[in-house]
Amino acid sequence: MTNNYENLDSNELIELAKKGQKQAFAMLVKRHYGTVMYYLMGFGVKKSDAEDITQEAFINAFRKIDQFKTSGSFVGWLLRIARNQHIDKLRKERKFDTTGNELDLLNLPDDRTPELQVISDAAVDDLYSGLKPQEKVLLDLRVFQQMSFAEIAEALGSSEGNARLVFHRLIVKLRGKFRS
Amino acid sequence: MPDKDCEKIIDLATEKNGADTTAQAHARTCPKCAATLALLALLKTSGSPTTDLKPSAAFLSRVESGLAISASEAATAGALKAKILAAVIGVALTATVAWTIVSHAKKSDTHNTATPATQGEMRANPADANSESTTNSGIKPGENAGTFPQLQFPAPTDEIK
Repeated sequence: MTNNYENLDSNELIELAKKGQKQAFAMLVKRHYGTVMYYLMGFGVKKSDAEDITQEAFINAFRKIDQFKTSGSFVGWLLRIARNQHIDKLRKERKFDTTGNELDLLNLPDDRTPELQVISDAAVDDLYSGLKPQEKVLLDLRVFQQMSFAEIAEALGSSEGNARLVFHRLIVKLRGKFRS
Repeated sequence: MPDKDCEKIIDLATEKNGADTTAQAHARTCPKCAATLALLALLKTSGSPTTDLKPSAAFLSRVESGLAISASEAATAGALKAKILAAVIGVALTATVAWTIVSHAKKSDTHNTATPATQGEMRANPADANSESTTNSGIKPGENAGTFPQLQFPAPTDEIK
């Protein structure tokens, strides 16, 4: 169904989705599913819950696609929607922490769900194995989505300095693996 | 080049434009930076670390049905908006036409009542002004006699008595 859209870049897909082409948006879903899922799992959300939130986030994003400006980062926008969706869910369950503290990427617990640990352990030789979900998201946003540290910090709910520091440490860690 | 500058190379290499010529020249002499650039090149070819999670067919079908619902909702909302807009334009047009008719009617009423007043204005008649004769004043003897005071002269026969 989405075979014709595989060669299109994200901006072209977004423009088609703005015209109401659901298949173009479905291609965007396929491309960014992992990022949204890891992003939510990085907050300690279980995979099944993360999938529900991801589903709602994508449907909301399609509803609001006209509001998205292509000058910004689509993934950053998507993650903000997912984050709001997650906060709404927590509010409903009365679990939302209202202190408003920023996320400290340096002190993230390794709260990988059992499913995620299986995924990571299955690829031991992979460079990415053993990375925390937020580290995977950070790497994706910086290297693959080419977002600025300011945009990343906004998307992850952290500070720009924190995002930069964690990214540099991550690169050093990966470089060590790569050399060995 | 100190460590701080090596960190800048990482920043530069991950920017949209990639590492510039200065950074590449430095990387040739710095094994750390060379390894970083090689690592980033490898990462880019092996793909994002988030792509190992793929959506299931069930997930995609749930999202696609959700998209269909939201598309139909958007279409309904669009049609409703168009109807509301048409209704608002209709009401505005009717109100404008009605207001125009009423204001024209008022104007013509004012014009009709103003015309007799101007026609009934008393104007000085030069012919009347020059005339000393009361007979020319337009009042005929016997007409409205009761309304005018009349001089009572003694009759000539009264002196004889």
